[in-house]
This record gives sequence, structure tokens and C-alpha cells, in this order.
Amino acid sequence: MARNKLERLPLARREKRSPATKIGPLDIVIFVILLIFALLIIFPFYYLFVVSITPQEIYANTPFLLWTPVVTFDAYYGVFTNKAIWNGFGITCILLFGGTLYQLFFTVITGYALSRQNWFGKNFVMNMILVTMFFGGGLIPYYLLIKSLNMLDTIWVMIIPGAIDTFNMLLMRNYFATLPKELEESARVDGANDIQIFVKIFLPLSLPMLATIGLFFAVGNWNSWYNGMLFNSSKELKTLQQVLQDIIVTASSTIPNPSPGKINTENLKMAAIFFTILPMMCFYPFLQRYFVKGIVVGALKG
Amino acid sequence: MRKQLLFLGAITLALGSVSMVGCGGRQSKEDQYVDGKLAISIRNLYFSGYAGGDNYLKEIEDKFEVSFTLTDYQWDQWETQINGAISADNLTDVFHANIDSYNFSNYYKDWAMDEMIKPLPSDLSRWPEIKKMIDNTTNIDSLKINGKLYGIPIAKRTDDPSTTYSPFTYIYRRDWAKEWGVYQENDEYTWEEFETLLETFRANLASTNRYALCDVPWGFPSIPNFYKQVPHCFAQDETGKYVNNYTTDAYIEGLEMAKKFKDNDWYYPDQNDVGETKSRELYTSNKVGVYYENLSYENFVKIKTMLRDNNASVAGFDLDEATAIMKIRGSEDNQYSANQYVLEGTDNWFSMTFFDFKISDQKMYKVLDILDWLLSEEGTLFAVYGFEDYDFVINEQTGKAEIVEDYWPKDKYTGEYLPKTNGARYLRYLASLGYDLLEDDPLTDKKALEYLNNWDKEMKTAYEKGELKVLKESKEVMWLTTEKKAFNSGNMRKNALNNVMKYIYGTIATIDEFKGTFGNIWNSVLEEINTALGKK
Repeated sequence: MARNKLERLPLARREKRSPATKIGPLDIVIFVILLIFALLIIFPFYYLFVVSITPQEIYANTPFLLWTPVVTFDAYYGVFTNKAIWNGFGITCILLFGGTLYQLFFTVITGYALSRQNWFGKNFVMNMILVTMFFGGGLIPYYLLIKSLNMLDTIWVMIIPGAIDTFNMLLMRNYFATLPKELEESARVDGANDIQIFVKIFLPLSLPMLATIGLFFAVGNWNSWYNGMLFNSSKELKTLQQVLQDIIVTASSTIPNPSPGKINTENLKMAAIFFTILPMMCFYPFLQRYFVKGIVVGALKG
Repeated sequence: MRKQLLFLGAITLALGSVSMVGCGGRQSKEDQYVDGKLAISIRNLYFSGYAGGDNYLKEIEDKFEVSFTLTDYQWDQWETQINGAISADNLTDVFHANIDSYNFSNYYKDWAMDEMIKPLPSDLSRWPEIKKMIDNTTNIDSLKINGKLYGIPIAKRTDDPSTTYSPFTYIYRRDWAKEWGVYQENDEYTWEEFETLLETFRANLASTNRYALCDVPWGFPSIPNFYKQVPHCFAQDETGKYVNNYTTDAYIEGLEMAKKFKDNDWYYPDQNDVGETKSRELYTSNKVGVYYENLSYENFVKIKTMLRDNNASVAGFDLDEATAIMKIRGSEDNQYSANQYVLEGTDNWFSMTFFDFKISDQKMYKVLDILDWLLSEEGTLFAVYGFEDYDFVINEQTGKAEIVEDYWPKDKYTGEYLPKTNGARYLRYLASLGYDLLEDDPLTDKKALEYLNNWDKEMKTAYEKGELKVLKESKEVMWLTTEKKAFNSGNMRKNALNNVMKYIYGTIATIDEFKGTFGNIWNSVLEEINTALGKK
């Protein structure tokens, strides 16, 4: 008779696996706690989706909505046929891809430069960057600066000023600083120049950190609205979040306006919100493993 | 030490250089032309949702040889956007600001004195419609600085500028009141009957997690609004001296009532945290029985529409029967409003259209020409309907405009007319909200309008009979600009309302303690006001 699978395993592996097969009362408690936490996190998204496909009347008259007896995708039709949303989506995609790459580029090369051995003025540059973490010029000087750079009413105002995020740059710098100097030295012996060392040695070793910071930037760009609100008046330059804000705020404002237009129902608002968060929700899991690893690496070696 | 000093010096230099950026003189803008047409940029809150490009706007552009760039403000960021643009001298040629919220500061005056905004020409005879509208506008002198008017106060209505009160009051479920036997004829209640109604609603609704009363958040607590003497901070005592409105006996009585309402569980439990949308939803989704709100035409229509949609499948639901505005007056022995209704006073405007100081006279006159035409009979018809013989025809017998049905889209479910995108309508909002046009507007909910007009007539009649008390701060103190008042009054009101909340929710235990929260700042501002106005 063939031995069962467990018996066929080497002793060490058998010993390793055996505790996992036993589920004790503590495991159940932990499982339940984690399940509750998971539900707490998942439920708002689920609820958002359910409301978005629920007719207004059922939503309004159901105290606790777990599922809808009548499913309607009218709200999604409203969202997908809304030109402003698609325009906002386009602008946000430009920010997402263009802005993220741009920010990554400057943040990473600055972090790398500041992690290298002493060069003239390094501490001064470092301190000047650090200052921006603690002091700001204030809104009006910032506005004046943007104006003098002729960036008002352009998409650049939502991209260019965010070139370097100090916190993320410090993460990058600390990470680069922990990589062995010998790597650089041996590359030099092999004839590599600075750019080759950076691109071929350090960048590939920094993938977890790049993914982490890239995710920070991507989420920031996806949620970007403040610079657009403040510096751009053109409707064509409204980001997705601004359009979403318009949909939600217009519905709730009590300002006198003789032509209130269509009333945005709750399911339309929820559909718009769902549409807005969905891409990020899809994007997140693929980077999660890098994200966790990157944070841990940055924290421990920093 | 030397290093640190150098470092600090570098920071100061950097910040200083940033601050200096853009500190140039204010120079006049040269007129720009697009295809031979004068380019005009306009930013207005009401352009939200309007993208331009329609034939009606094009018609105006062709007629006046102008080319518009229209942009909007975001309602919840309106003030931030204006302040940013003003401070950085980045204004559009024409812009729109809320002056009502500046009653307690002197921003508007600062803008005028600092030459950020351009005064209207002193002789408006070239623009008779604008002149007529401004001449009829209430309290216009308060808006003048050194005899000059620095913008167009946007009139709520042009036909009847005597609007003296805002419809901040209660709407309720009349059908529930009838069902539970607490309905009063013609929706007229005394405060005592109102309390009985709230208790009855509470008793009948509690088991289904529904509640008697909810206020729109900016109106909470609503009850003291009907007891206080003036809408905001500065009331007058018997001698005419200005005192703290929040510590008068009248306000305290209203405050005690609000606390009682909360303690009796008449209020929605999360009233303190409820948002505007949520508060309205509670009422329109049958979860509260009484709702305090600004019952302007558009809000009233929104509430009714939502209530109708949320009860679409309820057999026998009669929308007009189900909801009504409450008319609450003090009983005979009420020492503050005996036999009187109470409403908050207002002017015929709350926001203004301004002109950037730097624009040319030519451009300003062109905008005034356009607005004057839009306020004329011809322009009004164009703004309300559109093109004659296409969108509307004039009925030869009645002389009134009638829409050409074939060219007006209708909702396939309700049969209601759908709005046409008409740029002229939006441009007209630079001068008037045009509530007086609602009667003619094919998009108006005529039933709702008729109901509101009837309520308005009742209130006007009551006012004439002395049965309506209109709360209004005196002009002399409202528009008084003194140093401490300008600096503190915004925060004073905020702090006062915070303390009102604390009293209602029990964080402040006694009325004496509540009165004690108004400290030195209040005293010094009141002293300054009384001195400035000779009320010592």
C-alpha cells in the first residue's frame, strides 16, 4: 500500500507542515478577527457598488441595503455618456502616466545623487530640499510663482511642481545608501560610467522601492484635484476627481440657482465614485507585493 | 553656528525671492481679438455644467462682435478660487463673488480701494435696463464706496425688488400629521402645536428608526432662528445700544427650546454630523417628518422631485398632499413673536458681478451692452426661450410667448420639458437670477411655483398686517467697517455657534456658563461698534 503523501515527505518538512494542519481555538479567533477586518474594508466598496445599481426608490426606502431586488445600470449609462467624466478621465490618465514617470525620474535621480559619496554642496542641497518638508512659502506666493512661470491654465501646473516629493526622495536615498559600495566599485573596474552604474546596477536592485514609490505617485496623481482647482479655470483641464466633486457638490449645494438642472441621484453619484476608484483598485493588487516589500526595506535599512 | 546662520539666510533669501515673484505694478490689459471679435473672459458660479458652444451664445457673440471664454467656479471652493485669483492678480475680465458672506468683513471694500475691481460708470443712462434694475435694488447704498458702485448686484428678481425675507423654514409630512391626528388647518401651527406634532411623529416613527426633525446643517439649531432678534451677531437693546445677539433673553429662550428638542429625541440622532445632501435625503426618503431648509424655488423643486421619485411605487401617494411648508407663529402669550411668523430678512441680491480693474472701458461697456440687452424684453425672450419662430412664437391674441412644441425635447417617462442649452440664459445670470421669469419659463414646475407664490402672498399679507416679523441686522452695523469688527466678526460667529452646539449637547452645562464663553473679544468689538456709532 502506498504511503500517504505526508509520510512520503522528508521528516523536516513533515514537522514544518504538521502544525498548520492543526486548527486550534486561537486560530479560529484570529480568523474571525481578520475576517471582520476584511469585511470592514470590503463592505464600503461593496455597498458603493450595490447602491450604484439600485433604483433610487429602493435605495431611499431600504434602511440597510445588502443587495437590491432590482438591478439597474442606468447610473452607469449616465456616467459613461457624460462627456465631462471622459474628459476628466483623459486628463487624469495623462497625469497618471506622464506625471508618475516624471516624478519617479526626478525623485529617483535626486535620491541616487544624494546617496552617493560626498560631493561639493551635497549637504546644502539636501538641507534645502529638507526645508520644504517643514516650511512652505504659502498659497499666494505659490500662486504668484505658478503665474510667473506661465503655467496657469495649463496641464503642466498639475505635473511640473510635483517633480520631487521629499519624503519619497528620502526613502529612495536611504535605500540607495544601503546598497554595497563594492557593487559600484566593481562596475567601475569593468569600465561602467556613472549612468551605466545607475541604470544597470542600482535601478534593477531597486525595483521594490520603485514600485512602492511609483504606487504612491500614481495614487497621488489619480486623486489629484487641488492644483487643478486652484490654477486652472478651463473645463477641459478638469481632472476626474474635480468632475466627480462637481457631481457630488452640485447635488448638495443650496445656492440659489434658477436652473438646477438634473438632480443627481444617489446611484449616479455612487456609480461615478465607483468608476473613479475602480482603476486604482485594479492596479493595487499587482503592485502589492512590491509595495509591502518596499516599505519594509525602506524602513529597516533607512 | 556660522553654518546655521548661513542656512537660515539661504532660507530667508529663497522665501523672499519667491514672495517677490509677480510683485509688479497693475497694468491695464490690452484688448485681445479672436477672428476680429473682442475677446471677453467671464467666470461665474452658474456656468457650472455649461460648456458653451451653443447657437444661442454664438448669436450673441455675432450680434455684439465678441468672443467669450466662459469658466466656472466650484461651489465649495468658490471663495478660495477668488481669493487666489485676486491675490495673484489673475482675474478674468468679469467675475462673480459672493458678497453676502463678506458682510462681516471688508474684502469688497479692500478690492475697491486696492484697485482690483473697476467701478461702474457713474452715468448708467446708456444702459437703461441695468440702471432700472440697480435703482430698484434694495440696500444699494450699502454697496457703494465713496459714492461708486463697483459691480452689478445680481438681482434675485427684477420685477419685485422688495423681497425682504428668505424662505428659511420648515417643510413637513402633512400626510403623516393628518394620519396621526395632529394636523392643523392650512398648515398653521403655534410653537406649542409644533412641539406636539414633533412628539407625535417621534412616537410613531421611533420603532422604524425614523425621526421627527432634521435641520439642514447650516441651519442647525433652527429653533433659535425664530427667536433671535437679528440673523447674526449684533442685536440692539432697548436703548439702541449694540449687544451680543447670542446672550439676549430671546435667543436664550430659543436655545433652551433647541436643547429640549434634542433631549426629547425629536432630532435625528446624528444631526450634529449630518451633511447637506444627507439631511435632504432623510426627508425625501421618508426618514424624518419635518425638515428645516432654505425653501427657495429650486430647493423646493428638488425636495418634491426626490420625494416623488422615492415614493414612485407607493399606491395612492399624493405628492401635493404629502408635503407642505409649515407656517408657525408664536401664540398670543409668546413675548417675542405673539401671533407672528418669523423669517430672516434679506436683500434682493447676495452676490455681485465684478469687472477686473485692468480691463478697458470698451470691454466693460460691451459687457454692459450685452447685459442691458439681455434684460430687455427682446433679450429676456431670447434667454428664456431662444429664437423666435423656432423655439417660440408670440400668440397674437394673448401677446405672450408660446413654445414651439416640435423643437422642445421632452422626458420620455414624465413628459416634462427638458432644458435646452441656451448660453443667453447663463449670461443673463450675470445680472439677474430671474426668478420673475419662472412664470414664463417652459421648464418651470408650475405647480411648485404656484404653491410657493401662494405661500409668499400669505407672508406678504401677514407682513402688511404686522403678523410677520422679519429679522434683519441694521444697515449701520452690518456695513460698518471698524478694525476689530472686520478682523474678528467671522470667528466670533463661528465660536458662538460652536458654543451653542456645546450647550445643546451638554458639554456646556448651564446658561451662565454659556454666557461666560463670550469673552473679551466680544466686549471689545461691541465697545468699538457702539463708540463708532455713538451709542455710548
